[in-house]
Order: sequence, then C-alpha cells, then structure tokens
Amino acid sequence: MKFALVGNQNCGKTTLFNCLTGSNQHVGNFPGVTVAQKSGKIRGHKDITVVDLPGIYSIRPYSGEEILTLDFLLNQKPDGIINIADATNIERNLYLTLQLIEMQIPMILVLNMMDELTSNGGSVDVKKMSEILGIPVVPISAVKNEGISEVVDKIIQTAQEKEIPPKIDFCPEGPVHRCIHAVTHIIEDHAQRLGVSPRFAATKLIEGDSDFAELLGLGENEKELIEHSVLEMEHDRGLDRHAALADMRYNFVEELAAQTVTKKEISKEQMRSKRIDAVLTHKYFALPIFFGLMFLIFWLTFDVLGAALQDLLGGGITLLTDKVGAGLAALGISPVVHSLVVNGVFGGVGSVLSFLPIIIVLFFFLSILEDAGYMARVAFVMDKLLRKIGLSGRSIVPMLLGFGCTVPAVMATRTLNSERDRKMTVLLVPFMSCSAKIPIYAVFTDAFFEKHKALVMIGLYVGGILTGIVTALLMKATAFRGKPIPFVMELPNYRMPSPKTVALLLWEKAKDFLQKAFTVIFVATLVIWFLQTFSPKFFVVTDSSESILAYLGRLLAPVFSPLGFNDWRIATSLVAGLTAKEAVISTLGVLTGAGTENILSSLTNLFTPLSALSFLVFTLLYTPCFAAIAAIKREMNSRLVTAAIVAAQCVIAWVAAFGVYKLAGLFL
Amino acid sequence: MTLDKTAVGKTVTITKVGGSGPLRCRLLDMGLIPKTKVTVQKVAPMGDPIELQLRGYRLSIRKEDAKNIEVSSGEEVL
Repeated sequence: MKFALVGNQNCGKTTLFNCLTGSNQHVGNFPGVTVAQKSGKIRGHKDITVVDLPGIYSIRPYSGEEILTLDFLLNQKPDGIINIADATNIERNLYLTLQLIEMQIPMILVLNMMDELTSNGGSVDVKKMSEILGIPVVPISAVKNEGISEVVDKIIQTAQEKEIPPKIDFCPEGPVHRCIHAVTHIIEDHAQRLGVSPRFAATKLIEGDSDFAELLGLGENEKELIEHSVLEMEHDRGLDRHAALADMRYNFVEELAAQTVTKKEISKEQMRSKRIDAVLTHKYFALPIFFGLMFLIFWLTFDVLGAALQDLLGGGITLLTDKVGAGLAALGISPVVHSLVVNGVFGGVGSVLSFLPIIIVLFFFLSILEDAGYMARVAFVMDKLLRKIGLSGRSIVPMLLGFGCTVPAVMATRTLNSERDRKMTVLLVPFMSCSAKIPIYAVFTDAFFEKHKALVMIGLYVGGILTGIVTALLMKATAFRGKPIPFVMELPNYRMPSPKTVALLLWEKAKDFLQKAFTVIFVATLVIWFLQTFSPKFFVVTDSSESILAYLGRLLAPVFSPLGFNDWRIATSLVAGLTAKEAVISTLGVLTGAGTENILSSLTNLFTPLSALSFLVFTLLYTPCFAAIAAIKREMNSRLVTAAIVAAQCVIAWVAAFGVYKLAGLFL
Repeated sequence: MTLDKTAVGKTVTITKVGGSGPLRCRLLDMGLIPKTKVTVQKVAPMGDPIELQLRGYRLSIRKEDAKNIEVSSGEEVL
C-alpha cells in the first residue's frame, strides 16, 4: 500500500514522517523537477510506503509544489491520504482538509501539536469533528512521539476498508451550493470516466482551472453551461468565483472550529514568539543579529569545529596513505600502481572526504535555525533587498554560505519554498567566491599587488557579487520571466528544534554527499590523476610537462591568449583546479618546477600584473570544483542543465576576464 | 483604506481582496477574505514586507500586494 502525507508548511509534517519511517527514508527528486521527494517504509510494515508531499496551503495548479501534489494524488492514486494539521492553527489548516475530502480518496485527519493546545487549556472534541467531517481524526504530538501508532492503525484500516470520505455540502442552500451541484451534474460522466471525484472536478472547474477542463475532455457546450452557471453564482453571491469558494470553505471551518475546538485567544507559544521577534526582527537589531549569526556560524564551521574535524580526518587519511604507500613500496609494487593507490585513490577519497566535516557542521547549525523557525524571519527581514534581483529573502542564506563553500551552499537551496527560487539561487551561488579560492588570491596579490592587496581582494569579492547580480537580472528578464512566486509567507511560532529532525537531516545530507562523492567526484579525480600520470602514448611520465594533461593544456592555452596568459602551464593548472581550487597553485608550482615555496618568483615570470589580474578574475568566476558540479547536478536534476551551467560559467569567466584585461590595460 | 496604509498595531476588517491571478488566490487561501479581522503587527526593518496577525496565526506579505486589500477600521463596520 502507498499513502500520501499531505499538510501545510510548518505543521510538523516532517516530524511525523520521521516518526512513521525512522531512518528508513529515501530522498530524491520528483521526476523532472527539483522538488525534493521523500518516501519511506512505515516502521514494522515493510509493505507500506509513505510519500512525504511538499507542504502546501491549497490545491491549486500554480506553484510547482501544488501542481506536484495535485498530480501525485490524481495520477499515482495513493491508497490513502494522511492529512496532518496543526491543532493550534486549526482554521487555516482545515482549509486544505476540505479540498482533500472532495477528492474522495480514503483519508484520515491527524491533529498535531495537541500537547501545545492542551497545555494552553485548549481542547478538541475529536469525536464530533470526526462525525462532522466523516473521516477518522487522530490527535497526536509528533514531537513527543504520542499517538503515532494510532495514526498507523487508523490509516491502514481506512485504506483497507476503502472508506471514502462522504460528500459534504460545505455551504448551506444558496448560490454557491446551487452552482456546485449544477456543475457536478454537468460533468459527472466525464469525471467518472477519468476516475476523479465529480465534486472535486466541479470545484476545480468553478475556480477556472482550464487544464482540468481539457483533462476531462469537456465540449464547448459544456464549458459554456459551466461558465453561465458560475457567472450566475457570482452575481447572486456578490463575490467572484475564487473569493466565493474560499469564503465557503472558511465559513465551514469557522463553524466546525466553533463547535469542536476551545482555545485561548493567544497561547504561551505565540506570546513567546512575539517576544523573541521583538528582538530578532527589530527595526535596528534585525540586520546586525542576522549577519552576526551568519558570521558566528562561518567562524565555527570554517575556523573552529569544521576545521578541527577536517584536520583530524585529513591527518587520519595522510597517516593511512603513508602507511599504505610505504607498504606498497616495501612490497616492490610497480610505481604506476603505487601512484594509482597513493595519488589517485587516496588522493581522490581524501579530497572528497575533506568536504564532509564542513557539510555536517554547517548543516547542523542551519537545520537548527530552520527547525526553530528563524529562517522565515530571515526571509521577512531580507526580502526587500533580494526582491530587486527577482528572489525572495530566504535565498540570502545559501548565497552567504557560498562564500564558505559552494557545495553545502548549493545543497542548502533545498529548503527554499519555490522551485523557481531554488534554481535561480543554485545558479547564483557559484559566483560567491568560495574560501578555497583565497590561497590563490593570496599568492597572486603577494606576487603582483603588494601595495594594493586588500583592494584587489575586496574587488574580487565585489566583482563576483556584481556578476551574480547581473546574471540574476538577466535571468529574471529571460529564463525566469513570467513566473513570479507570490511572497505570502507564514511566520510560524518559534519552537525548540527536535534533535531527531536535526540528526536525520545531517544523516541525509552526509549520505547524499558521500553517494555522489564516490561516484562523480571520485571518478573525476581519477581521470585527472590518469591525465597527469601518463603521456599520450600511455607511458608513465617522469616529467610532468610530458603528461596528457600538459598536452591538453597546450591545446587549451591559445583560448586564454586574449586574456593575456598564453601558457600551457597556466591552462593546465586551471584544469587541475576542477578537482579542488587549491590544486591551481600546487599545479603551477609543480609545472614551473618552483615548488610551492618559490612560487612567487616563478609567477612573475609567467604573468604580468595585468594578466595576473585577468587570471584572478577568471579563477573567481569559472566553474567551481567537481564536488560543486555534482551538487548542482543533484539539485537541478538534469545533466543537460548542469552542463549548460558549467559552460555558461566558463564563458562568463572568459568574457569578464577579457573585459578586465582590456579595460585595465588602458590604465596599467 | 487599503491594508498597506494601515498603521502598525491597528486591527481592521477586510472588505475586498483585489488583484488577480495566483497571488490573489494565495491570499484568499491563506484566509484573507472579506469580513476577516486582521491586525498589522510590524513592518520589516527595510520598510517592507509587513507582518499580519489573522485567524490565530502570523503572515507576512509585501506592501505592493497589501495595496490590493481594502479594509475598514472596526468602527466603520459597526
């Protein structure tokens, strides 16, 4: 059996999903889109799958998430719907419930956060609510793991007995009532042929869903009849079709709540949230607090915790590599195999694993902020700034993370609410200069811009941001035009983050990264090793200038001659930089024969200050490492798009570097 | 009067939700429908968006969208 988990955002859907499935989860993308799909087997019921659908407020064919939910419920035909609602915010949550009931699929209503309601002296007459709605109602507290087994029992029972929710009239006799019944009557045959509920189809049609009219195969005559009926209703009701139906649902829910729910006007949690917000979204404090928090997370991740873990892991890998290397040497193994194991395999694994501590530490902090409800405040505070480039406030977080490391930053876009924002943010993140590029800047500014170090550094960062902004504006005007996502965002109450949710998210991110790391990134590192180690005739090279990579560098070098550096060693180092940006400097050191210590003097032979500047601009903007490409591929869910992004980054980098080279040439 | 012009701290009643398309539907879905009481809680530090309280929860919308929501202060309704 297959169940769909449906509910509003912030109603504890993920927590319930975690309770139901434990770590038995599979996270992927929905086919063809970048919306995350989670599914898992219910604990103790290996034959039952639960699919966690995106959090939505209504079933309308507008946002990607809504289309997806509608599509899943209509076409995948789940055996049952588990509709979760926040008991402390019952009116708005039950609005979706009414739409789901119309779909005539066996379903149960799960009232979450009951503990919060009761601790505030509130209560729900579960029996009465169940009678009025005609579906089982189960009160639970997902955070406290209360009522979960009853959810499982009830949904299995309801699905097995195929208990279809009854047809309820959500409104008393009147224009809307007449209209719904008239339209239902017109389309009944069509809907039944399609296997969807006539009532549901009728409300969709009244709301003007033209795709649905096509799907049902309605004739012109029928469409006209429906339109006539709707117009009559609008006239008699004095409200247009959308408002009339929303009004009908909310009136029903208000009435239902009045009969079954008692609660205080304002709960303790709401008061607490207001007090916290008095500081966190304060007119003057909000921005300093946000940037302070981000700085703290950066510092802890890249300087303290993450760095310590990274050192530990790196030390372990080095130790192991040395031991294995010594062992292989002692056994007299062929130098090729020795190099394959030591430089290729261990080098590859090492460079992959070095990302892991950063990802884990970063997501530890991020998931706490997300779970606590702070990210919605970030969106609230930063919205005005990011709206100018066609994004909403939340995108600021992945973009800031981009200054640390592109990989977790791209992974962090998953928490954005709209698919459009997610894609656009993924495109912009790589323009934020990542920390692995700092050594390159440091060496080059040392060698060429001794007097203007800070200026060049800041210039590079600002240049990256500006390129990002220009790219965003271009995308807003082209690829992402005409799909504005409404910024209508709930500000949920602050809550204590649940350790289980945080732990599962960390596990998911780590697993996700390692899976792709050991495929894409590992293979890519091996390929680079192969190119570095062998000559075009497949002899092992002793002089790195004879390697295939060097020959590729020679082929590629002329491409860079308009940028002022036509040298195969530079081209080669840029290719090597794809494994990790640190490799740019080390490769230059090896190829010039200077080593890393004497790199400064060899650089002055290779570059003029002018070409050094254009090289820095190119390094700033061109494709980040393989790990980042793998992360982008994961989020974009398309090889073609990823390839296009990589190509675009290289072209943008080339054009920008060329522009800087020519422009600066006028002054220097 | 429209919602974007409503003073912070004031509670008003929605009389009409204008605008069109997905955004308007989203506003209706979130419970911003005629006769609903709304309190303007806060304006974001940069002057936009605004924070509302309605139906026992808090919602943030942009001023340009709040412009489409016509309201009347409590007394007028009575």
